Amino acid sequence: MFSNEEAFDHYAAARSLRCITDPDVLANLAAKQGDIALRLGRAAVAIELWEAPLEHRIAEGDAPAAGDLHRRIGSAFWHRGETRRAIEHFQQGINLLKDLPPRLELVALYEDAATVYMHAGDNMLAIYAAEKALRLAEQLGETRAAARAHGIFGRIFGRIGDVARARDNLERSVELARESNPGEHIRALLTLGSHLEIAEADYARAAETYGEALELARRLGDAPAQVELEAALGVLAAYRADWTALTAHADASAGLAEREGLVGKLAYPYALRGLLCWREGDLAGAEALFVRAHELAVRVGWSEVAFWALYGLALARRDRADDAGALAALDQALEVCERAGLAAQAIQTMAASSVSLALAGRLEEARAAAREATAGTDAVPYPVAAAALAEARAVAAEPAETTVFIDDARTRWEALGRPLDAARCDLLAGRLLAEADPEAAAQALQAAGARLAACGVNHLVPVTVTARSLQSGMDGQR
Amino acid sequence: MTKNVDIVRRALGTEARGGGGEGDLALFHPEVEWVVAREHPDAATHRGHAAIRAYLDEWSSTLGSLRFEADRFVEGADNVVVAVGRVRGVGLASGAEIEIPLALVATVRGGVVARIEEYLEAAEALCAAGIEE
Repeated sequence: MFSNEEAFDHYAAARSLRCITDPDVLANLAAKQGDIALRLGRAAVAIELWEAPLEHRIAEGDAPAAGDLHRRIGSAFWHRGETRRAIEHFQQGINLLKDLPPRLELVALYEDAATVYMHAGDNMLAIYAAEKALRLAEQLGETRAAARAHGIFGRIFGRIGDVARARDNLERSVELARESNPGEHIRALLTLGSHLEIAEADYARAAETYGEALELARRLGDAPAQVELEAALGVLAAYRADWTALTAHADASAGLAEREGLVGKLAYPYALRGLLCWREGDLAGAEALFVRAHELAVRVGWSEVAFWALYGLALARRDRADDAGALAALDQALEVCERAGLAAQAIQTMAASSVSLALAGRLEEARAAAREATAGTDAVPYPVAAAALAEARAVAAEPAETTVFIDDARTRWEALGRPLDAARCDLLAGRLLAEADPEAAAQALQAAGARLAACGVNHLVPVTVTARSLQSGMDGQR
Repeated sequence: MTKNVDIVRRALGTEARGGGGEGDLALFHPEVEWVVAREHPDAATHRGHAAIRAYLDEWSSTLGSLRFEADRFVEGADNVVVAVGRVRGVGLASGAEIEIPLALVATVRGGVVARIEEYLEAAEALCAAGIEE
């Protein structure tokens, strides 16, 4: 009926009506206004709005309602990046409810606590909390809550590299969610899709899973899920350099988020638009959009998108020859990964730092970074991280072995259906072989130019030509 | 091994460097206080044998093969012993092998454990016990 902005104003107006004096009604109105504030990305406002209803519910002895408000306040603190305070509120809610007969509010508290622990990298406490949530959910015969608990198990297993167990749990979560309600079904599909994309790099199945969720979200009118799913499909399009599909998904995602006032969700489509700007060679525009996307993602505690925005930012800065800025963005991305336990992305980022240094011609630093990135990573379970590590191994290798590792990396990216990443391998070879084998370097740069042109990234093609002519000049001088 | 360390080790049912078994409630003071780690979702202070039994049962109903394994015991002043190790178990629903680093600051009075404080960081536990390493 109303956009979130309008709904927020309506609740504020209702609360200011003098004829409403019933404290229960006022508490409900403030609580609902707080829900909208959080959806609008205004976590501080939401917390302030929920504090009065919380006091009221505690004074009334309504432990379930008070516990649920503690949960909401905890979630809002988490959105602000205040993990410690988030956990404190979950603990207070749990303490209010744990000696009462099992109830859904308690299940939700353990689930949200598990999610926050997981994002904070406390995987063990996350599993413990999710185990408790699942046990309570089973006692209550609540398939929806059980679906969520399996979803959390799946995400944690994914993060600790047990990919098979992760998928089993996430598929179980989808099965249970399908039996419960459509909203939960969408959420479970989104989580499974994300696992297939990030941990397994199975983009065909990820697209199928996101697509199924999007269909459901459209039928249900679930705008936040639609925004996220359109953007997720956009990312898959970006991997295969399908700019038409990426544009369509980015527009659909941004349009819906703007119309619904889903400010926090805009982070994702803004990052996609940043990539589109990069593709057009508008590097300043790309940088501005990635920065904005990162700010929004941080504001709502969305680590995966914060990572993506920083990774894109590094790309834009690298191509603007701002090497220090690119490396700073990658350092920041690594911090996000470490804080949020994004294992696959952390490996990818460390490898990308060494590649960035190499492309900037800082070969000694690049080799040191590559050695650090590849140490003890013989059996990485994530295909994307493994491909990125193959690039880093090329950076660390002696010139005689460079081509072998570059070929390995390129083959891996091609097998994953990521032509832009494959093109970067040729750019990298052009740089790494420039001294030892100028002819091979020139061939690699020519191949990079052809690949980039085929991907429709024309602004980088002249870079490969210039690099080739510089090398020819150097050869002539020798 | 000093007397206090032996009491704590037997009370917790641990063997140094691995092992881990049943603790002995008789070695806890009847009004013992057990302060759960502040990061834990069920953070609280439990008092008396019944509350501690319930707390440990809660752990056991969530994780199978639950045990506390101590790597080392460090003795401080005022009858304080710090047991540094980890809780291990297997998630009953997830099947995940759980290992949570845990350091317990135990205060011994009259031959029994009168207070336990849990810390997830060993350094923090040692600091709380006034032990410098």
